[in-house]
Amino acid sequence: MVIIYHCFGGSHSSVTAAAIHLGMLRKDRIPSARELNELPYYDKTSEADFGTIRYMGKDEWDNDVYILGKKSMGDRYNAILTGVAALLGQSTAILPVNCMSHVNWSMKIGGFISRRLQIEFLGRPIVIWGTQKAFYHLVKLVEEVQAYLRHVAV
Amino acid sequence: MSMNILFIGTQGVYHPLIAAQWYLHSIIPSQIKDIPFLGSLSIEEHGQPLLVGIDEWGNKVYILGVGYDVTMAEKSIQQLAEIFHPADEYLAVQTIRTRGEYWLFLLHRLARIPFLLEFCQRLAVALLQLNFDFICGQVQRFKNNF
Repeated sequence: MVIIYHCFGGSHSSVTAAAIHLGMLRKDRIPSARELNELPYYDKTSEADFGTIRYMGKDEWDNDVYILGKKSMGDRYNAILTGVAALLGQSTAILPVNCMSHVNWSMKIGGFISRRLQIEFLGRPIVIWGTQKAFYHLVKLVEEVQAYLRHVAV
Repeated sequence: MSMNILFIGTQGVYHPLIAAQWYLHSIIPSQIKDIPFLGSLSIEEHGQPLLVGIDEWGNKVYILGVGYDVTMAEKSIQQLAEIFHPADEYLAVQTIRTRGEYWLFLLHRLARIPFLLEFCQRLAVALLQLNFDFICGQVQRFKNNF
């Protein structure tokens, strides 16, 4: 199965959720700033990356995990991705996961300053703080996804 | 081997639908208002590709509305096709633009107000008739390269 975690920029919440899913981050404690910074794509995307489906890794059930930034398209992007997958004969082989409901104001403001205004020294600490605050919410989201995958695998 | 052809645009039920109909049946501007599902609120709300017909080579022709950033959506769709079918040309995606597509977006929103529905749809049809050649030109280029 192809799992696509998506958020506004494909840079923070989706990257963190995918990293939790893949075991790059432990679920039982809040990651440090350094651990978040070392994640691939974390706070490193540009304007040109919107809409790009980027590979993060393979999970324990052999599913491919991707991330995607889709601006403020909301759940409509879920419909687009599943609809196109159906055209490709893969309607049950895709699981898009919208992370936006777990994005807090610190992540929005920090992400805007860091990615849009390109003032990383100011925006990055704010977005990291926000990600740490949202971490257990993202863990819960990933656990729901993994529970579904376990159910599908049985 | 037949494939799927997908016409996308800001909203599927306007210019991509005309593009698909012209591709399949070479319609003329006066027929625009009679196209099934033109301006349909429920189809657009659904957000899934809509099968419009099958061409003479057996290719299925679909339309899809992808919102305001068509370039971004096209990129995602192309990449998804590559992820699932890296070796095949299973899906041909063609973006259809039209002048005033943001007016269409606004008209579509306003058409949700029941007493404005007919007025908005008439205005949308008029806008699309004005842009008919522009839309068909994009389909013709797609056909030439297909």
